[in-house]
Amino acid sequence: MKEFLMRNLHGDVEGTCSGRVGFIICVLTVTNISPGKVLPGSGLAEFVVHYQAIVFKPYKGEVVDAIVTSVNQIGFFADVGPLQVFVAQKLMPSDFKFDSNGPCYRGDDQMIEKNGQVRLKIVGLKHQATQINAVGTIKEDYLGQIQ
Amino acid sequence: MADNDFRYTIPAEHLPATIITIKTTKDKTMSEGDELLEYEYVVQREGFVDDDKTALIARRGEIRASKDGIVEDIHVKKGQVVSDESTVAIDYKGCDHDTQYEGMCVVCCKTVLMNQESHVLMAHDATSLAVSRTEAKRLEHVTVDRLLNEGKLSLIVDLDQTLIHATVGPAIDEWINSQGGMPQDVKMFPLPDSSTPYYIKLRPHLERFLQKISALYELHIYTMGTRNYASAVAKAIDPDGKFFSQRILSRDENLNMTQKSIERLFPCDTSMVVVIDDRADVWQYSPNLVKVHPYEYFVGAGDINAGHLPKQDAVVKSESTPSTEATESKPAASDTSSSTSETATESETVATVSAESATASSTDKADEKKPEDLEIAAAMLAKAGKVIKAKAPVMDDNDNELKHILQILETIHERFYDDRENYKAKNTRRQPDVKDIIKDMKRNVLKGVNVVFSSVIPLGQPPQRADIWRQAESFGANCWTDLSSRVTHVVAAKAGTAKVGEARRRKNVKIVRPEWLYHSIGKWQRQNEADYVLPELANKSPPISTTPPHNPEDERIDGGVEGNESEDQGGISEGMNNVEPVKIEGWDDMAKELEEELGDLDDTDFESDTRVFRKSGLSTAVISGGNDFDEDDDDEDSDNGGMSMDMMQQGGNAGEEGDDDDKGMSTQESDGDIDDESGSDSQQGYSDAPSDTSGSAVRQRKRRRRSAGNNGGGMADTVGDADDDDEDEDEEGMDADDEVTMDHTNTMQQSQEDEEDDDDDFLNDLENDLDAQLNDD
Repeated sequence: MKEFLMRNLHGDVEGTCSGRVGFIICVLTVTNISPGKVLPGSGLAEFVVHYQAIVFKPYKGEVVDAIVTSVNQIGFFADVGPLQVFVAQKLMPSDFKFDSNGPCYRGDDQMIEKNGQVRLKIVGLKHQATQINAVGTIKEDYLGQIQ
Repeated sequence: MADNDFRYTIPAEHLPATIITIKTTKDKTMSEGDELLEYEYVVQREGFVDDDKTALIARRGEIRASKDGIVEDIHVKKGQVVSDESTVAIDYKGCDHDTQYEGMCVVCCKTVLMNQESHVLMAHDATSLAVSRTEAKRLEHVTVDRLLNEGKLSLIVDLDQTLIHATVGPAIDEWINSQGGMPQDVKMFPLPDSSTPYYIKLRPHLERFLQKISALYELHIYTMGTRNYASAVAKAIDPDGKFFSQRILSRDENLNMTQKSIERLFPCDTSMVVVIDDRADVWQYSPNLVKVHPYEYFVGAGDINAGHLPKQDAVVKSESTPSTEATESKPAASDTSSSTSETATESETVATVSAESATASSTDKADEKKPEDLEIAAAMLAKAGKVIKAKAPVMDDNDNELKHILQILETIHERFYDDRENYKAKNTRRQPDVKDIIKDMKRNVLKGVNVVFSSVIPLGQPPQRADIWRQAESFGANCWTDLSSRVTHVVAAKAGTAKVGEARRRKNVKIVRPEWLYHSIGKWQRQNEADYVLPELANKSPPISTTPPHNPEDERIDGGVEGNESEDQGGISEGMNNVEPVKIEGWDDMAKELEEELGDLDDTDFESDTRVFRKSGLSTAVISGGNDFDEDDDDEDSDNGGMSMDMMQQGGNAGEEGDDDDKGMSTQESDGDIDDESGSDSQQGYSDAPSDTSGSAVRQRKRRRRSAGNNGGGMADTVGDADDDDEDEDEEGMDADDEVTMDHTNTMQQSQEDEEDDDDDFLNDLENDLDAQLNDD
């Protein structure tokens, strides 16, 4: 029974995202399983399971490494694991220019293009029930393309 | 953006002031009206406490943010005394929230409400990103400048049936296996999360087309397929990404399942955008659109991503009925004039098979596992699957559409930059705009052509709204419903209609098959009419068309439906005997031919017509060559002939009409042709109602009968209503108040539509009856 609950728990929560706790990466331990309560009207039973897990909860101001997934003339999208971050052109250093051949952003000594790696700072987060969206910047020292 | 930089200072009249609290921090996002800092200053008031003393009173003031934005820097500290006017307290940057990501401003990170009005989507591959109109304009300006520098325009291309033809299904798998490898230009790929292989056939000349066109245009893909599908196809046709790069917009990002919009990619300026697509309706007949002929390779597959789209107009649909498919689905074949009769037979057979198997397709469907987005297409494909077992599932493949399109696009590009040179040289004040160029180019194609359609536009819809009508008009032709003296071309699906007969008696009217129009439109080039003579008329008349490239196939197709012997119709011949024989150059042979071919009309409407032509055709057969007779005479005579014919047609119909209400496209020519001023009771001035006139006429007669003998309770038929069931219900009598009222209104409307008032008495009677009944109830 316990095994079944564990399996279900892993299947249900790992890899999901909630606005409250962030992305649940991996369940570590189960601290408590309540006695089952049969739901009236169906044969199902409900167990309240307390568990500890590794989560990824992005914070404002956090500096993260990301992989660029898409570049357009407004800015670029980058993935930080499960989190998608958007960096607007306005939040890039002023020498960054959009180049539609690529497409990419070219700075004096940097280039941001699809599948490239960037280091960015999260400046804004929006928590929704099942997803988190973030806005980032590379307009600061030591941010930008990772060479 | 300098007007968004704010430097907040303490007002001079409040100096010196002491900073009390600073209510913000550096880099903090503030909203409009938020307090940034609070300060204290003193004012002197004389005579406030005592007459001869001045009092110092402390007052508080604050600095507030004048709009949403970010605090850039704070230059003062708590407790600091500011006495200098020039001391800047706070540097502040306002933010217009020009760009939003998931409802969050990407600059100041403030959550803003997404507003459809003020913000538009621009990115190809993201719906979460919206930009304001001003920002969109700025970005577009950047793009336009870049394109002008590169000497390019933007081109939005559709995938399905424009650049490629795609299909899925086990039948195709089998066929591919049996071929022992991929045929040329057929590519296969599975989509992620699905094992179903997709097969796409590249349209002939695609590679060259893309290469040439990418030098002149920046290419964008805009498809109704899913994102995965679009990416996979793009990878297949453009493996290096050099043509499309990431400029791919799919259904997932379109936000509209039935329509495409240029504004989705170019919200502000569409003057440099050209679209090529096989469907005009999804683009709302945009002036930027260059319509291409749908490409079909896998039989029966259609457009696998069009399941959720509204059906094409009936005109287009009718192309795929077995009788016309063989000719219509292969415009290219006729273009190159390399089409052999063999291929025609083949596709004809295939089409027939597919029609047969349509009923049996449900079993196939069950065991085919399809991705969800293709479920709608499944039936179609299952149908195709059946066909494939019988025949090779592909059409012949000498499609030259892309070559034509390339030419057209090259011309557009050239003219745009010519116009631009002129504009720059101030020869013209008009900004270059591809919309104008396209419009102009189209208008020149059929300039001066006056068209009448015969058996082309199905009844039951206003002909003006038919696709072919709109297309013809957008290409500069004038369309008419009646055969006036201005008409230069009759576009007829078959001979033996009233209009064709009428036109044949005039020497200056050309009678052509609909393909003439389709091809002229498709190629943006007026085709030689002689190549598009109706097969019935052209068969034995080599003098007119020296090179009729596809006559053989047409003959066979039309010959297939031949057979019925027409019924006799007394009285008609007398009416026609006084019609002067008309000499039409080179048409005399056709008349003979016509007589032989004309057995195929099983529609009663045509019986009278065909018989008429048999007579007149015979009489014209003896005359040949000369076209030296008076034209006015000709017109007049023809008009007379047409009128009497139509009248007789009406008469002939009346008897048949009651039990035969499915007349298909045939009665179109009775519309408008009738010039019945003699006040015949079958006509109530229906020239405004572009529907089944003869049917209505019969109904009118019924009405009259009923109104004479009955209480007028069953008058619910409106003018355009061609439903016999309704009538039956009506005849059973309706006593309820509201229904009678409704009937009454309809009748009133109808009476307004009547132009000829010969039935006014009848209407008055009717109204009286209805009023009486209303009172009774």
